[in-house]
Amino acid sequence: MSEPRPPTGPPRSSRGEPSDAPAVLRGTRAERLASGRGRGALLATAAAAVVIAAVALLVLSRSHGGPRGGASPTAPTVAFSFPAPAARGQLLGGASADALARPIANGVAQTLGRFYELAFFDAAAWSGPPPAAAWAAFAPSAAGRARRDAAGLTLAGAGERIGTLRPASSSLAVRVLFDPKRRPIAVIATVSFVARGTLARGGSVEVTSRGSYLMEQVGGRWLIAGYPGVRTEVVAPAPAGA
Amino acid sequence: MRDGGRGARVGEPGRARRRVGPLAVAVAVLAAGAAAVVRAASPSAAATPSPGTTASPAIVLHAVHGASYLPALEGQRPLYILALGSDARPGQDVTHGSHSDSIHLIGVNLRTHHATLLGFPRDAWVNIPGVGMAKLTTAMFYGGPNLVVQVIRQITGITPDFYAVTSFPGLVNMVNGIGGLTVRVQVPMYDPYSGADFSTGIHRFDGQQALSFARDRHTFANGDFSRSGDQGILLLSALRKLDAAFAKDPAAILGWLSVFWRNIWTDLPPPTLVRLAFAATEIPPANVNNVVVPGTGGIVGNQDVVFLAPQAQALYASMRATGTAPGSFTPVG
Repeated sequence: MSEPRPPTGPPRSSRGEPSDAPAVLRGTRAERLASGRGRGALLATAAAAVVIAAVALLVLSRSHGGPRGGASPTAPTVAFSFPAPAARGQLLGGASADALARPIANGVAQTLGRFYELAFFDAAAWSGPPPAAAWAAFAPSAAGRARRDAAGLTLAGAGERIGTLRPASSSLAVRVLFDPKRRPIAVIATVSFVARGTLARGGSVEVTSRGSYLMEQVGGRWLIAGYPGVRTEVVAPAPAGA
Repeated sequence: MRDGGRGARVGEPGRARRRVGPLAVAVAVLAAGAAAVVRAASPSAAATPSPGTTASPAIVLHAVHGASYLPALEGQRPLYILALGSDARPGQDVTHGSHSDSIHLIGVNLRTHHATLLGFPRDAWVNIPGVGMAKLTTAMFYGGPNLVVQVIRQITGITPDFYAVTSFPGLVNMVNGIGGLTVRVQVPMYDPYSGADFSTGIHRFDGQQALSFARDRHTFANGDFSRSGDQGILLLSALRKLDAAFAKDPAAILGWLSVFWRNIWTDLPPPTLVRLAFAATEIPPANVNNVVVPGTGGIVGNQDVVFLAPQAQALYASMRATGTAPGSFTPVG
């Protein structure tokens, strides 16, 4: 599982260490600004930056299904991905085919990781339906039904506003059945997911999601075609005086 | 049983022949019983928090939501599968030159989530195209599963969508492969020919015992009918077991399909077989009934035969209309 994405703070190098590069760049930029030509360039750059930022905000807002009351239109609060999935493959007839299953499992992990990120760690999902982009994890044949089942698949049915949420533990196991020509004919992913955080009103909260997903390949991506039993639970201390 | 590669598939005109291994059997059994249920948590159902989720003594389970959905097979009409049990011994061709010891037309209504196992007496005296009047069991000998399909269509007005054939060793392997079957024996059974020797009550059968149970006809006054009914009981037992296994771990179905694939021959394409297996898991076992086509015993020449009763027409009509038929098999000791 990936670490929570730091929302603010000093830029870090690719190794994650604090970087002093910005200080060097500040000095260089200041020298450039000393000239009139530099000032003109600065104004143009600033204007371009404003336009780009506005467009970016608009795009992000749309990709998340538009503004929702109190929801952040930005990226998920934390990044999430499943740890390396356990992959088991089997040919019809019984022979093991784990190596064949590995790339499929990775593709499944990518899809499910993104779905869980949007369904559980996007602040929008803490007070309303998850971002529209979350449903892109589903095959067209299942997406409509999944939206109706949002309460069982996402935090949409939490019933209380969540203030913060961080991944705690998760696992993913993928089993693949191949036909005699080694084509995958059935892919089932089993998920165990736990996140912990705080409620907006205060107090801790624990969110779990467990179940299985039936996956199928659509346009080169592994998408959710069914979910034979997925269960989402939200557990928190009772409010004071309750 | 198909082994090694088999050769068991012989092309027959008018029907694509695909040898389906274990999955086919799985599908056959699944479809036959079509009984597993997807057990999903009921939406918004209150539940007790699992131990260890929090140390606080005052816990509120704010939300428990379950969701369940499986892709369904397309189609507004019922689905029909012909499940055949071949009497081929090891080394013999399972689908040609052998007899069908067990003949079941499985109707599945995907809209209502009901299914019927309609068993035909092996010795039913029927008109076999190109052969004339003969026992139903001989149709596979003369023309393989496709000829049995033709005969069933002629009798019932229903064209099976797929067939699946297994053998004696195939049945044994399948039952052993899924860890045995639990069956309630309703009358004492003793038949030296089949090896059946069972007291009344609940039995956990291994593959060989299941085969003996399925083949016994000498125990019963109405041997051919009770044997067909017992075969349906085995299918239902398999479906109940699949139901439980799927509810515990949906991925278990992949193991079942693999076991079945090794032991059946079918014209079902593997992807369809998988979809069918998932569809079967959405039919509660309680929604599957086991019916045997009625008839009366008689003799033609020196052969003991069964004349199918006119009342059977009502069963066929119901199967045609809904994929299911009323009734329930009761063994007669």
